Amino acid sequence: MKRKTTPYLMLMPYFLAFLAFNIFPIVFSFAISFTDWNGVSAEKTFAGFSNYVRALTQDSFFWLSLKNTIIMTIMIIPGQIFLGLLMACLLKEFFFKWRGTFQLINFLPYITTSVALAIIFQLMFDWKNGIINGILNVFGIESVYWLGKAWPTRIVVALMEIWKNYGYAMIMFMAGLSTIPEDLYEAAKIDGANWRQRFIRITIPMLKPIFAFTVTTGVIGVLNLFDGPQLLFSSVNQPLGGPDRSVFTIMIRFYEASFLNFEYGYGASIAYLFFVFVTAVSILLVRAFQEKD
Amino acid sequence: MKQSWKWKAATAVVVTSMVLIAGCQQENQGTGISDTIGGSENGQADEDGRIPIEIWTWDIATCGEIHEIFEEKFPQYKIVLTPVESSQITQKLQTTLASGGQVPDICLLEYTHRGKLFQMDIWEDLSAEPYNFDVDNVLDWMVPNETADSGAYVGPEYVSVGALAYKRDLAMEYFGTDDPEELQKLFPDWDSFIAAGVEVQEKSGGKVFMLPSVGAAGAMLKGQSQEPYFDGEQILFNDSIKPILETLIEMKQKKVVDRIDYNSPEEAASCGRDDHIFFECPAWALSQIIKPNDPEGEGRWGLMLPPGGGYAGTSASMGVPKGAKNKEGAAEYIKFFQSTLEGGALIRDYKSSLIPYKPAYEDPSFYSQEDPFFNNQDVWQIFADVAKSIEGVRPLNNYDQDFEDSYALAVKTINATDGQITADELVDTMIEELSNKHPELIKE
Repeated sequence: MKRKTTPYLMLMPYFLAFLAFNIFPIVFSFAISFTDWNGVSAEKTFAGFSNYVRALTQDSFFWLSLKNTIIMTIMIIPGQIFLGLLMACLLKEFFFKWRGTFQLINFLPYITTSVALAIIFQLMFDWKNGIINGILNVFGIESVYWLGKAWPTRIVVALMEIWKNYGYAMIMFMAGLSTIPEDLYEAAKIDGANWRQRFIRITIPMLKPIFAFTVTTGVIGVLNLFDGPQLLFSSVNQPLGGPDRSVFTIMIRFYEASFLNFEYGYGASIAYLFFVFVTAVSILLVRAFQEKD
Repeated sequence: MKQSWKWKAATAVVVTSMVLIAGCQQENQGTGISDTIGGSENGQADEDGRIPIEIWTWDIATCGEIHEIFEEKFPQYKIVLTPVESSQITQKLQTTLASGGQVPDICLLEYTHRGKLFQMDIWEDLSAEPYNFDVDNVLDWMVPNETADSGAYVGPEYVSVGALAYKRDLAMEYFGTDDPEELQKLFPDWDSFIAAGVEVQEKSGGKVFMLPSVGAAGAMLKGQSQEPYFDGEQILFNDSIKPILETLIEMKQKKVVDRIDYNSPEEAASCGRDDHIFFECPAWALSQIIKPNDPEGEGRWGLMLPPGGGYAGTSASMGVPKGAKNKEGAAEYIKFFQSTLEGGALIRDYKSSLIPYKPAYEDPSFYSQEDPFFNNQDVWQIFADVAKSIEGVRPLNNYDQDFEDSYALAVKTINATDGQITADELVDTMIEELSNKHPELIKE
C-alpha cells in the first residue's frame, strides 16, 4: 500500500497545479457563461443560455470579429508557412558556414516581445514620419495612411504576425528537412531531376507531417490573435480593433466584453463559442491532412 | 535510510503543495466586494517603522520629488508606487476585486472609466469621518464628477483646463501678429479659425496647418460643451457630439487640421517643427509635451484662449477603495496634495498641474508665473482664470468608455476619408456600435 502511495504523492504537486490553474478556470468560466456577473459584485444572476443567444443573434460585433479573425488567418498563414519553408530550404541548401547565425537571426522575431514589435511597426508605418512612407515617397508614390484605413491596417498586422512567427515555422521545417534521406535527392539527381523537381517531388511530400503540424498550430495561434492588433491601437485615443474595426478579432471582442464592459458572463460565453469554432477548424484541418495522406 | 528518503520526499511534496496553494490564498478571504471592504483600518508598519501608502498610477515620472517631500513631512508614511497603464487600471482593479486580492490604498481613476466605477459601492467617502475632506473647498463644477452614485465623495481630480498654445513666429508670418490678445480677437469663434486655416494653407502651399490633429480640435470642442451624451440609457447625440463632428469634418475638408494621430508621439514631436501653428494645451502639456519636444523653443511660444474660450479637459481623480489597508494614510496624502496650498504648490511646480482647492484661486499670486518659454506670459494666470470661469462639465456616465472608443473610430474615419463623410453617417455608426454593445440603450 505504502509503495503505491509514494508515486501519487510525488505526482500530487503537478495535479494540484493542473486542477487549480487549468481545470478550475475552465469549469468556472463555463459556469459563469450562464450568468450575468460584472466580475466584482458577489451576486451572480443565472441567465440560462441568454448570453449565447445574444452572441449568436444580437451581437453583430461577435460576427464582425469572427469575420476579421478568419480574414487575418487567411492573410497570415500562407505567408508564414511559405516564408518559413523558403528560409528552411535556403539555409539547408546554401549558407553552410553561417547556418547557425542565420537561423538565430530568423528566429529572433519569434522571441521578441509583442510590445516591442508593435512599437517598431507603429513607427515604421506611421503616416507622417514612417520609413515605409519615406521609401514610397522616394519612388514618387504618395504616402499611405497605413494605420488609418481598414485594409492597409490588416496588411500591417499580417506583416507583423508573419515576421514574428515565420522563424518558428522555419525551425519546424528544418527539423523535417533533416529527416529526409539524402539518398533520395542523390537518386533523383542521377535521374536528372533539377532543384525544382526535387523540391516538388521529394521535399514537399516528405514534409507533409510537418505541414500538418505547422499549419494546424499556426491556424490555432492566429485564430487567437490578440496582442498585435491590440498593442498597435492601445493608446487612449485609438479605437479598439483599429480603423473600421478592421482588426477587431474575436479575442479582442472577448477582452472588451469581459474586461472593459465588466460582462464576465457574456465574455465567458464568447470564449466558449470560440472554443467550439477553434475545435471544429482544428478537426477539419487534421482530417484534411489525413485524407491527403 | 530508505525510511529517511521517504520522509524527505513526503516533506518535499507537502511543502511544494503548500507553496502552490498559498499562491491561491487571498488576503481577504472569499471573493467579491463584500469581502474586500473588510480591509484593516490601518496598514501594518514596514521593517523601517513606516506605514506604506500603495498607489496605483501611470503618472510615475513626475512624482519622485513631491513624494520625497511628503515623506519628510509625514515620516510615518512611505509611498509605494505600482505603475499601471491608464487604460489598464480599471481592469486591474476589477480583476483584483474579483479574485479577492489586495486593492491599493489610492487608485488613480481615468475619466472615461469613472462613470462605471462610481456605480460600484467600493469607494470610501472621503468627506465622512474619520477623513473629513472638506468638499466645500473644492471647485464647485468639479464635485459632481468626483462623487459616486452612492453619494460618497470619492476624491478630487487634477484641474484639467486647457488653452491654445501657438508658435509666435508662425503666427506673425501668417496673421501679422503674435500678441495673444490680438489673436484672440482674430479668432472669436471656430468659423473664423477655419477661415484663417484656409488662408494659411493657400499661403504655405499646403504645408502648414492650424492644428496637428483632428483629435486636438475635438478635445477643445468637447471640452467647451456641457451637453450630455446620455441621459441614463437614452442616447443624446444630436445636440452633443453631432455639432462637434460637423465642425471637425469641415476642418478636415478645408485642411485646417493635419492627419496626425491625436496624443501620439508624432503629434508631440510636431511641437519642434514648423508645419503646425496651434497646439491644444492643457496645463500639464506645458512641461510634459511642449517644452521637452521643442528644447530650442524658449521665447518662441505664446498662449491664448482658443476660439470659444477656455475649456475643461478630462483628468484623473483619486479614489480610496474600501478594501485598502491604509485608508487614513491615503486620505492624508490626498488632502495634503489636493487640499492645501503647500501641496498645491508642489503639484504646480513639479507636475505642472492645478488642484481644485478654492483658496488657491483666491490668492492671485498662487497661480501666477511669468514663463520665459512663453515670452514671459503669465501662463498660470491664464489657466487659473479658465478654471474659475467654468460653470459646469458634462456628467459622467456608465457608457463613457464605449462612447470614447466609438468617437475615436469616428475621428479615424474623418482622417481616412479626408472629411468626405457626413456627421449623420458618423453618428449613425456610433449609435449602432453602442447599441450593439449595450442593447439596453435607447436610440434618439
